[in-house]
Amino acid sequence: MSHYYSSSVREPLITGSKSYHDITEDIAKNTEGTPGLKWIIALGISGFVALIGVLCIAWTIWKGIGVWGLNKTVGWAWDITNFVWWIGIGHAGTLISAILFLFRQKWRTGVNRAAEAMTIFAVICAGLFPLIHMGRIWDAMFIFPYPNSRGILWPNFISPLLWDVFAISTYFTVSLLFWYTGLLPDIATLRDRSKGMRRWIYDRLSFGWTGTAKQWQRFEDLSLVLAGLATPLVLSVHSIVSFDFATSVIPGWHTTIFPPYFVAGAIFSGFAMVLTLMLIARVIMGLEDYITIAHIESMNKVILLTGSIVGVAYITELVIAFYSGNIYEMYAFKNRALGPYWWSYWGMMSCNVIAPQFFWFRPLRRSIVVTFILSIFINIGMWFERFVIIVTSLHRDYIPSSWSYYSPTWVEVGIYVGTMGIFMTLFLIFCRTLPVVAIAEVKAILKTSGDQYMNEFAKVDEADYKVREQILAGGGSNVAGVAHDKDDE
Amino acid sequence: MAHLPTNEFYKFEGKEKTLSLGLIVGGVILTVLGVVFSGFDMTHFMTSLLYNNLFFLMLGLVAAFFIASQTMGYNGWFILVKRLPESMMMWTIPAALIMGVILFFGHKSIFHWFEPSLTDPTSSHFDAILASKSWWLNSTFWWARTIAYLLLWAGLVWLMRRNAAAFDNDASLDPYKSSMKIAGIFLFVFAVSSSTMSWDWLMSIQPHWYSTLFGWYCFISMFVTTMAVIILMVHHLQAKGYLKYVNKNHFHDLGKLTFAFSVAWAYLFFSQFMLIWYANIPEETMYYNIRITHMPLVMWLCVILNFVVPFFLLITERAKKIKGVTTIACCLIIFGHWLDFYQMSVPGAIFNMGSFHSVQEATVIPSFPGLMEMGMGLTFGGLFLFVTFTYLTRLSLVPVNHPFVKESMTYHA
Amino acid sequence: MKHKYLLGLFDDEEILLTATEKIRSAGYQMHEIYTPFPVHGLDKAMGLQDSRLHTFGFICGATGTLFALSMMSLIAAVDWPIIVGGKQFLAFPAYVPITFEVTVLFASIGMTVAMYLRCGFSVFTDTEVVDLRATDDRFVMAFCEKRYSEADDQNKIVDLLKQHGAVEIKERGLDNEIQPNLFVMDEDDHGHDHGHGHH
Repeated sequence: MSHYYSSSVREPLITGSKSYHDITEDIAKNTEGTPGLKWIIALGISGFVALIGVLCIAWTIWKGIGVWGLNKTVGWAWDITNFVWWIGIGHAGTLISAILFLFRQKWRTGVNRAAEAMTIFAVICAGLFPLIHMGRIWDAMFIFPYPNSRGILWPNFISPLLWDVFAISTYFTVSLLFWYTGLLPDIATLRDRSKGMRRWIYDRLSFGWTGTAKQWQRFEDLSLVLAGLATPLVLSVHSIVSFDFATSVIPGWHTTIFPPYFVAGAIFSGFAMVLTLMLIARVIMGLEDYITIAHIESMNKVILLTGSIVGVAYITELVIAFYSGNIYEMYAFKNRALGPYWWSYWGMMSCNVIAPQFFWFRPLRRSIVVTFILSIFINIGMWFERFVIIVTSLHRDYIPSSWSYYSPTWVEVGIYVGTMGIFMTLFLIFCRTLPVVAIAEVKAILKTSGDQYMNEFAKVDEADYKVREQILAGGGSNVAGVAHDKDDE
Repeated sequence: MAHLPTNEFYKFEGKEKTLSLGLIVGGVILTVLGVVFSGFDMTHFMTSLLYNNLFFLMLGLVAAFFIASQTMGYNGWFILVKRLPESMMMWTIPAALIMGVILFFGHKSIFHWFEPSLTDPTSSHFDAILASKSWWLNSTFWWARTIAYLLLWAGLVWLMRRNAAAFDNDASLDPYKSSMKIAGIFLFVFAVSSSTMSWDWLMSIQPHWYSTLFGWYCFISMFVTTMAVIILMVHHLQAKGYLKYVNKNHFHDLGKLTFAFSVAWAYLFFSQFMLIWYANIPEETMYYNIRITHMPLVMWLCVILNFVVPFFLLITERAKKIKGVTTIACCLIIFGHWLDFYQMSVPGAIFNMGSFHSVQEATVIPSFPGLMEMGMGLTFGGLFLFVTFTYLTRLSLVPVNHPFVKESMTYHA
Repeated sequence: MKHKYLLGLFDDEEILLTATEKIRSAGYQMHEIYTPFPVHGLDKAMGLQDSRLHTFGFICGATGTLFALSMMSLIAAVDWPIIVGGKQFLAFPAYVPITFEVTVLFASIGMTVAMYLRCGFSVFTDTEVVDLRATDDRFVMAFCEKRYSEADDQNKIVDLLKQHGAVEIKERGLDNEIQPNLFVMDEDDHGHDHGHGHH
């Protein structure tokens, strides 16, 4: 008898009575054959948008950041907002792969691969902003600590901006290693299905993976440790981003809750982005059997949880600002809600705190349309959050004579939109060339979470239920008492 | 595949009974001795009562949180140990009552902002900072919040317990379905009240100081403690021959949670400390300044016992499955977090009250918990154990009708 | 020269696990097993030694910690001390973030590189696959014919494979030898009943 079991209360995570071979077919077929027209059009649009971004970046570098709307008072605005927004989106992948792995959530197998890919693409987009914000990008190597080729100058190790350099480059590297090592078995699957040039390429990419027991043993050991390392890493990255603000003495920035609250917000926005894209991808790529409503519901629960944490953090900040008795703190928050940027504050509140509360209701959690709309709201809301934190805290500083109002120029808008193009271009290429769902991992949960197996478990549970009913009908506690007395003998 | 488990009932007798009663009596004796040796100070006494009661109250409350969060996360593995937090949380109800009594008699000795002259602009004691806080820190609103916390928690814990009991008499899915609803409500209430409670009962002891992270810091501290207590209890019950279905993998997961949240505690400790250290604003640094100057040992022990020890002891999978290692780690963790609660409350109260009442008299901030605190800790610990063990006898140790019970029994990986 | 292997193909991981245990207890050590996904407990069942990658990872991580801390301390306190933001030269709380990141970076890169090297991964060589379906839906057990060269042994292995549910049995010659494995020789190793003891 099979030793696999999972409670029939759970929903199947793989539907359609798939066999191992079906799983390979369904997922691998998306990378084979000629691309469809829809994909080509999508790639064309994304590529065009990315091109606009690249041109705007080139323009910025050519002319200097004077072409942006920054001024003496507001020195950080769209650039850093976009940076934090993208980094936040880049947190879902590692969360799904690492934290949910450690918490034994089986549903992560359906979405982890795509989420990890999004992580990497999002970090690429994020990393662009601090670099171009330097103004003189050719001096970017000065952020790295290498000795004496430039005199006696070292970077300042107690600056949070330098911590960021370390955090983001480490995060990118580790995410890439985690993602690529996880891909090896699936690339090998693609290799073994293909011939000629295609096989040659996938053979190179597969590094010679054959799936031996020893390889799997090392693979699992490595995954476990990388997951263990990536969990605090993902927390550290957004915490360090929050230190950029919180180590200062600027009202609205200097607050101790920032690190965990940024992390919660990052996960929140990351999940929203994963949902936005995967809701479309699962239909276009025919993956409804692998990314089921149960997956969507679970992700919506994480959104509800992290959205509520973010909500509690907003309220905490607000209450403590007024509790502090510090007039500057109080003013910062009054200015957020009622000042010239009131729309961004209320946009943030309604999109991030109120919108996810709809997910308390099961039918809404399970509705694809509602999920899609809300995920977009959350993406927007989380952008507003960073804008609120950065711009509204800066634009009115301690000296009213230097108060100002910031609005972006077309170059900044172009760069931001352009990064979305870059992100989508990379994502579309990924969808066509690599398996979007982790083939091997889905196979590994088939026997506990495939619908045909779960129907069998349901029969077992049904029989159990009858036995229990009988025990209870026969005076449950007496029977239990008998069992107990027996134990004592 | 596992067969159906049978009911198993725990008997509270012999050594456990003697132990918990002994702790209560011994604790009272130690407390009296402590007062006799080092003199009676109302502020010190009441603040010690407050934090010791709060420590065990939150132990119960976070046990309820643990069940609620695992229920909402559809986790199956913890079902076999579920009865432990379900009994631990029952201490919340008497503790809430005791908390009401302590605060009723002690609020003026613990919280100096209750003094009306402080917010009276005509008084020589007028404190402009406190006056601007009075919309939150005023007697009426504070008591309303306090009573709301106590009633809400006691009520929700009672609901959770009733639901837990329903599993013993109902083989259908109804108790499971209602457990999801109760868990949702509990988490919602807990999310807000656990933070505001810590501001009201701990942070406002030094009312000039504020930290937005404070609530989450307290919560994480107690979460680790709760895990450690659960591990110790499972060890104990297994040694007595109960819970035989609980295997190494359950210990692995409990150990992982203890390990992970010890690291999370360190993360929050660091975040709060580093940000205050870095910005170096006087009204914020004074909090750490008092503690580091007067009780460096306590602060170092907090970091060592709550982070360094569990980190190195519990880092490997093997260690998490060894009884001796986890027992030592858990005992040290519990003591460490008890110290953490001590440093969050007592020094602040003595410092503030001392400087408020008599500026001339040098305020003596103790450098380490004395006999009195230890005695109180033991007494409340004894009461907590007594209630937990009593409630543990009432329901089957194995929730045989829970839909995930077999998953928990066949748990491997 | 071709290296000859006897291959038994299975289509179910539970059958494979039982077969692995049974064949080993009959005294035959399979050289390798290829599976399309990680089969829990298979390494124990076929008697593989535990992976030691995590220990290496720990060493790399500790190296990273020491490297970061000592570098920053030396730079900030010895090589070129500068007061920044009123902080002391050795501002340890401010070193924590970078120390942590470098620790993680060293451990991750070290472990990954170690794994790739130990598995003999390379982008430059063409992979020789024992069976194309081993990355799809077949579990392939390979016996080295050099080790079991007697016809008796081979017949016995074929019988055992058949008896324990192999769906296909064949011989294959490979150009490259399959990488050798280290096995736990002690049959009473605790790992045996560890991973999958729920029958």
